[in-house]
Amino acid sequence: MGNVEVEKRMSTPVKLNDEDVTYLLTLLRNASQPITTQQLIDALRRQSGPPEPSAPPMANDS
Amino acid sequence: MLSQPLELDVEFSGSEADRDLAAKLLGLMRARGRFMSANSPIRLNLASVAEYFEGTGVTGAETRLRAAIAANEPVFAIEEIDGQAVVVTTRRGIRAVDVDGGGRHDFAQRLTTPQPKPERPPVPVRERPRIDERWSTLQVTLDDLEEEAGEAEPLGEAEVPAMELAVEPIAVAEAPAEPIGEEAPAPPLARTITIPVVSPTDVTGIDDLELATAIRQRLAADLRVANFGEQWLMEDRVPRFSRGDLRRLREYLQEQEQPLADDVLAQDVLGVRAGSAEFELTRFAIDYRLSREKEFEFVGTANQRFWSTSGLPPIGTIRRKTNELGTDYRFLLDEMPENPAYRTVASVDHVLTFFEYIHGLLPYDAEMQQLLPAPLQPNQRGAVLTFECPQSYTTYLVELRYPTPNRGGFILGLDDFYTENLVPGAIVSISRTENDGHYRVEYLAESGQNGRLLELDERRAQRYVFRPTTFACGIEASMLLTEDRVGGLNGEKPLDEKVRRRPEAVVAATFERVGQHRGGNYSATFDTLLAGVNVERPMSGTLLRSTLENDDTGAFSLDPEGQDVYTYVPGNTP
Repeated sequence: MGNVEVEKRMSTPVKLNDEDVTYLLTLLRNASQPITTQQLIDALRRQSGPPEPSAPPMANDS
Repeated sequence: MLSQPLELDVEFSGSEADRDLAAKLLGLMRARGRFMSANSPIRLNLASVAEYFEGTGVTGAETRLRAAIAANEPVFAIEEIDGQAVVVTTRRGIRAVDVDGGGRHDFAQRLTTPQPKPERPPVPVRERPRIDERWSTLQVTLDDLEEEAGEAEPLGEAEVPAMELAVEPIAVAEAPAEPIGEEAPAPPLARTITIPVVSPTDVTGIDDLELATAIRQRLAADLRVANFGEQWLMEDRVPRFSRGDLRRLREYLQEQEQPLADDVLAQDVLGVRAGSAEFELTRFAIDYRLSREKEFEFVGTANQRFWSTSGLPPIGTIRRKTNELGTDYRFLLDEMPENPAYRTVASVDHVLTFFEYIHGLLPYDAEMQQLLPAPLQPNQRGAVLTFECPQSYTTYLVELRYPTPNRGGFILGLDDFYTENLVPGAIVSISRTENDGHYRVEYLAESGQNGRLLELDERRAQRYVFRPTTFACGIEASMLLTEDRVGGLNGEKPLDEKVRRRPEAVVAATFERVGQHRGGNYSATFDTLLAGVNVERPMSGTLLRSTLENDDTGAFSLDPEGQDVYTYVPGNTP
């Protein structure tokens, strides 16, 4: 089943949902320099993966 | 203005003379204070009044006035002001009353005494928005970006919670009211509003190329996002240029007489120092803003972003127009792969033809396409590249013309490199560097050789001649145009433009020029033909072979006795 799902996903072009776009726009809004496509890809991969335990807390999260 | 006369009957006391005089006095004082309010005191100096009545024939006016005033105390009064007697009354005919309100409506007091501040109700305690765990990577990502940019900028904290609120599931439930009695209306049902949680797309297992396409599809269509090449930023964060800035950029390009890269424009025109915090942002602003201006044309690559404008001298040969060269190379369109693999090879070796040599050209064929970068912008016509020759310590500015639907691509601007170092038939090697706009071009350095080589004599009428030449570069012998091999070209004029447009006609003419005449026919090896036809026009081995093999008239045929030798029968000229 897993292989079938992977094959199905590979055959259809990936589309980003609103959550992904919101995340990318937040990155762009907070960037002081232009961001490359590769950096955006890396950011998407980091976001879709499990939360990193070493990630520092957000500035307004206590 | 609407005015209403104040007519109040006043009864006077005293003798008839006193009443008469009092009535006249009141009339006089009402006339004096006709624009005053009804209760305002009207004051007249008693001496002046007496003098007035003296003038009307009243004798002993002051004495009589005092008597009349004393007889009508409810109407008049006499005040002492600065030692002078002053008659006081009002338009209503009563003695002036004290109407001082104690300054209750004094503007000065009202304006200088502010009202007390209203008491604010206590602010309810706001529930702290909780952050979805998935967003915990945002800070890490931003930190990484800042580190890559080489500077630390504080994160806009206000932005983040708003974004989490958008994805936080919210459930609002209204508690039902308790029924008071049996006749109480039925309580409304509990209403629940649930916003579905949108989880981020799982991108594991998706390659970078596909993700990049997905990102471009979504962000390129968003007007809030500025994009140039592979760089992205919010549009409102990209600095804008005034009309004066654009004019200075255009004039600087025209003054330098060549396309310039964005980093040069940022430093020389806009005065932004390289390495400063805003340098990269300024470069991006130049690229993004100029790409939206019609008077500028992007002619760069991802790493060397050159800009051009109208009025710049052309790069490369002026012997032929670029449109004509594109038509000459049209055959390359048929030899290009459907899915080009840009920048997939490290270097390309190429043997120079005579046509390329005299025009300073290189063909943009399938091999060259694999070496050079793809157009960065849609509808980009060309790219200015730098070719560095380490053997002569010289860097040449060349222009790559990308193919169009009906014209082939080519590189021009190598005239000086060829004439200073090479001869037709020389082998050159073009290798890429990390910079996709910068390439190394080299030739095989060898000991000097002599030979009578073909040249185009342009002193008077154009003719092909052979002259003794010394060269010190590696050559492909089959493409070297010596007098021994292609002596028939000596003294020949270049073909007419109408003839040279047709490959078959050029091949036929080449047979007659360089072929061996045997029994009315001409025969020549394929290599000699290839070198010979490329004197007049560019022609690849594939095109030449196709022209020879697919000739319907039978003019060209493969000689079965020779090794890759073809024969041409002149009567059947295609």
